[in-house]
Amino acid sequence: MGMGVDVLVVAKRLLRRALSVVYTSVGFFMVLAWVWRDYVGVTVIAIAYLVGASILYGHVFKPLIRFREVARVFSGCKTVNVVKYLGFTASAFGLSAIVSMVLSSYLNIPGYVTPLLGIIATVVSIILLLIGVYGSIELFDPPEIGVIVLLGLAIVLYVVKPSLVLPIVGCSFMCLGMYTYYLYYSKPKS
Amino acid sequence: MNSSVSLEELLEKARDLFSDKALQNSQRILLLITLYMADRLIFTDLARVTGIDKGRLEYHLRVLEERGYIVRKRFITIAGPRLYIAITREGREKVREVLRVLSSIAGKI
Repeated sequence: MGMGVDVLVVAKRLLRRALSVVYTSVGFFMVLAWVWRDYVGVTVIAIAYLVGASILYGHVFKPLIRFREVARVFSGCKTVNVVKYLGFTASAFGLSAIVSMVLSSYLNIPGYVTPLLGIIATVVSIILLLIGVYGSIELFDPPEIGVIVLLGLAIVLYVVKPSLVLPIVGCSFMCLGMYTYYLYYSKPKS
Repeated sequence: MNSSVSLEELLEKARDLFSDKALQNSQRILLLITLYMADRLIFTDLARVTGIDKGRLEYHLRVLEERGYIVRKRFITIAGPRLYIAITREGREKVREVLRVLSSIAGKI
């Protein structure tokens, strides 16, 4: 293997470790929200978890920040500025959806606001991932394709049967997280 | 890096950079970049992720440690204290410099 290929393989494995934690956590909290049905309680636990994880295991998430910097040099993947802005947009809509969901327990917020914000965040995330695929196709493997499929499935399920979104998408995210961790843990192919 | 720098100047800079003994081996560069991305890893994880066998890994880590690019530190985890191999500030700076020079050269070619 050439040096650049080696670096890219290692970088992808480290990214997998971080993403496996992200997917599993997202899935877990979705299922917890479905079982518990107390969104405020779940949000508080999720925030406590985020604080705890960043103190004890902050280094696990570092590859998420540094991957692009390294991959750009060794893979020649294109720098697409629009990804940055779309990322902010998706996060803003996603956070607004969470905030409106929490506030709807206390304020008189119309029922369509939270799902609408959630759908916009999901659609923007899918566009973001597709641009990512276009910009760096060689970095995309089954777990990344799985995320795109899952996000698409979330929208379809929301239209067909909203009550199934949390358990099905949550469980699928947990499975995807475990599969991603398996890819990290398995022996490198050389 | 300044785009007005010529390819010859960049190659000269790369020659200076890679004259460092620690960077004269591709596995050591790989280890430094791995630790730059991960911040710290335990020995077995570092061996598995990079695919470098443990004997060679120990030798390369000693060279990098002598140059002050990495340190071995004990960290508290949920599973108890673990001995980690962590990149130092000098190591991080060196990797950034390598990435800067390599991306500038790639931009000129």
